[in-house]
Amino acid sequence: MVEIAPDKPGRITVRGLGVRRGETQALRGVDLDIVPGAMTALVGRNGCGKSTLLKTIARILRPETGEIEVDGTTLARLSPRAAAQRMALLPQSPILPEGMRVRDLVAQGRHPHRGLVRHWSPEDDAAIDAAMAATDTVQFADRRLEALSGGQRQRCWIAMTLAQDTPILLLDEPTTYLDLSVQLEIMGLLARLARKGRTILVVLHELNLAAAFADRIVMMRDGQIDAEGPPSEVLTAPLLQRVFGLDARIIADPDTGRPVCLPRTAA
Amino acid sequence: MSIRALLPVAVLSVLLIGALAWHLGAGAHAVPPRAVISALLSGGESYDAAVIAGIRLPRALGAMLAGASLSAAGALMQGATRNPLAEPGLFGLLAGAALAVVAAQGVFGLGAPSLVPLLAAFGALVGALMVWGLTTAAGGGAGMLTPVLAGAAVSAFLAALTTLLNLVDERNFEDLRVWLSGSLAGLRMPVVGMVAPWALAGLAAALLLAPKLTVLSLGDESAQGLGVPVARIRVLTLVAVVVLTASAVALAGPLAFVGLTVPHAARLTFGSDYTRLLPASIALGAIYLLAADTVGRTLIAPAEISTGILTALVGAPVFVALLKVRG
Repeated sequence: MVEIAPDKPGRITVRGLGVRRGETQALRGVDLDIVPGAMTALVGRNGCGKSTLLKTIARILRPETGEIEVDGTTLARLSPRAAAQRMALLPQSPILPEGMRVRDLVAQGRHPHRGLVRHWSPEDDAAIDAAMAATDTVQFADRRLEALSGGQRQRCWIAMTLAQDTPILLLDEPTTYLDLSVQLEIMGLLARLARKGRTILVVLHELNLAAAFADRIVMMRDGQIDAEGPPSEVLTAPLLQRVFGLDARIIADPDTGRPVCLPRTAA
Repeated sequence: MSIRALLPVAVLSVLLIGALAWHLGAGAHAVPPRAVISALLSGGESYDAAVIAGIRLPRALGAMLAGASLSAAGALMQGATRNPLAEPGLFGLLAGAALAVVAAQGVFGLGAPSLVPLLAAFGALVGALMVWGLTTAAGGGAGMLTPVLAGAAVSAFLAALTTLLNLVDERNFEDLRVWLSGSLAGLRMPVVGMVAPWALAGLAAALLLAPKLTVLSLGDESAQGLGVPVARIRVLTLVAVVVLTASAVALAGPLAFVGLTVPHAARLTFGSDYTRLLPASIALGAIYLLAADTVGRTLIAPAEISTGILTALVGAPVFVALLKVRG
């Protein structure tokens, strides 16, 4: 498990967060400390508020009450550009820009580092090269995005957020609609990035992906946090019953020792 | 700059100079190229020089500014709405601008040329807001055709009001009839000089907005994650579009489909990155209207075909082709 290092950048602190979406109260008084330099997975049933929490941290939704701090700075006080220098976001369904080549997409990640009149610096090129190397997308550089498979495309989007060069990476269900082998590939990539020191907050639908790859799991229910901690502590039969309404056994992965959730399917 | 980056600049420059020379030389009274150059450089008292300096040069400058403005406005609208069919004509801005100018002249007697850009801007804004309101009422931006239908309804309504005003005041109608079909005929240098600062400011704003629009093409949430204040950029884009549309209308009346035809022609070569697409659209727009206006003046000389009729004849098939490809 990850050591909690207080000096690592990328600490997110959420205090008393309340968010209303239309008629419903999507978040009710959420308190949460996101451990820097680790991968935290947000899980829960549909409509539990996990995506709302991510989007509020990403400043797409406005909180009604409460406050979010990043490394001690109140998020609401930052300009859009300053916030984008601290946090990168991969939304659930970004729009595929027609005819754009992979390297040009990754280059968009440098947007928050440029001024009104664009100045392209060697630093930008270096950040793009590093991002493409980390995601193994160098060989696609001159290809058009629409010509790639779903998994390859997802790696390119992740490369764009890496080029943004932020201590924090926010991802909203990055494995949805992908083949299982590709889901594992993407999660493995995120785990490597977390080991290298990025703070990763990811909304996941698939419980066992969270259990296998995340350092910490946050379980949400009815707009509140129900449980939070390392997978081995959070993934228990009573909690799964309470949060997911799921009758399941927890076994240990013979290779990694991590918990695996095995829903009972016998009639 | 690399050769790859310089080549399009060189090609567009040659095309622009070629189109300008053709526009200045050709017409009911053909002026040989050498006389065009000497008229531009040294002026003179000759008939040729008078035609070039007094009639054709203002008209050529007006064509370039109007073409560049409408093309930039179209590209800006396509970027801000992510709707490939967005364009000042189809989204009600041209009809609004035309009605505002006609109403001000016909009803309130506000005919001063200096007022025309302001009136056109007001009308374009009202037209755009009507289309936006109607689209929202119809359930938001779902589908690229909803705002086009709203634009068609608003344009038909505003055009009916324009026709009504013209029927009431037939004398004014005679003056405005040609202008309403989209024409550069009779454009004089003082009007060009008065509109040019507005057009140039709008074009500069368009170039500054271009990198934001590229980011916006990844979706609102991605753009926000990349530090682009989405709502503020949309408002600034609307302001630039209104200024550009008003400039074009003040110079040439409502020219249909230019904002659709030119950016999509530019996309074929320059792709959809707005930092390349906008400068290319501006240059191609100037070239396109110079060519369209020259054809309009020479095809059935000494009579003229309004430039707006030609742009509509070219633009309508482009619209249909876009529907087929994207629909």
